[in-house]
Amino acid sequence: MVVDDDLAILDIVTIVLSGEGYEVEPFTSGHHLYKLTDNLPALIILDVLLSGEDGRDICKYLRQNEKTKQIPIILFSAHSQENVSHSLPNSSYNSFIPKPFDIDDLVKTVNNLVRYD
Amino acid sequence: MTSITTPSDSDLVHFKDDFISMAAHELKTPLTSLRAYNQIIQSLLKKNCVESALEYTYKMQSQFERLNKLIFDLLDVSHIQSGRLDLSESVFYLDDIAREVVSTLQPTFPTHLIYIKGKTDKEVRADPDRIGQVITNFIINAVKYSPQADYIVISFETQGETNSFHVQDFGVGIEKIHQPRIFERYYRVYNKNDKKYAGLGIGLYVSSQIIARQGGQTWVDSTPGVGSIFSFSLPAFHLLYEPQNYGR
Repeated sequence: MVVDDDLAILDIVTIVLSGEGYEVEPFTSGHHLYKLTDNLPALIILDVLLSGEDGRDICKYLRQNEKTKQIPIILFSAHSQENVSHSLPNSSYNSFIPKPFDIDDLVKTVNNLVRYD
Repeated sequence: MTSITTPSDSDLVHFKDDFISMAAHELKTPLTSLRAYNQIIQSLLKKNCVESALEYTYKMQSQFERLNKLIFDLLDVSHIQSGRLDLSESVFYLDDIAREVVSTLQPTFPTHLIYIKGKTDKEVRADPDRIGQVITNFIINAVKYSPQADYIVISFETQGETNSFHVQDFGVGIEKIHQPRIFERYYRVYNKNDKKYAGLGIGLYVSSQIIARQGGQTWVDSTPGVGSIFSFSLPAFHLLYEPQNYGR
């Protein structure tokens, strides 16, 4: 599952990960992540600065929720990890990818978290 | 209708800090797409998939245009501050420019249909490119802030000696406290959860300045949860004051 309010980024992540054999569900907002109960995703890729939402709040919620706390989370952002993580414990997410990102790094990070989890 | 107020110095310092951080973010976003599309194209070309690669060059083009618009918006703020905003005036109907803008923008917004209604009866004298820029800003905002809707409405009217243009969306709307400040430089709206929306807070400022410098007014009517109507007006042009007959 990938959440980003930028359609081009969603398009790119979907193309790249679909090409690697993953089934990708793209979303422009994180609202539905608060309602995840069944059909949990194997991985969530989450933009930090969503329009009108904060990916860090979603991250904290997912970690506190019994059903979702084991789902690996990749945060990505155009802000640095230092700026992003000051209000977020490292244990709240599994990996951070800075934008602009290299698509090989994206694939490698996803593979590490999903295929070898 | 909401009037425009002047921000305090401390507000401006705060907005400017926020602005610099957001400018870096907003510039990096299309750069991210450009870098990734470029990598995808390289990979496709290595496999001789020329047709597919070509498709991605079109996607890159829209990201270049987005980056270009951002840079021009930033330069416009600088030009406005120093009083060097260039205007090249001619006489035209607002409807004509708006229809041109819509025909260019509609293919880039597959999520929203743009309906046009009404007409103006009198021409305006203004910079058509700059007016097109304002209309573009209004439409982009309308789409951006109505993610759950599937259409927006553009309308025109002439009342007396004033031509008006409106863009109506059916989206999140704007809280009353933000409405008087929405056209301020660097001002960005936050929602009821205290989260800001993406953007630099310069598009509406630049738009209002463009309209003001051509003798017009800019305003917003909005209801949270219902939607917003962004409008501007320009005075009608009179042949009486000008020797040339420009025609339509």
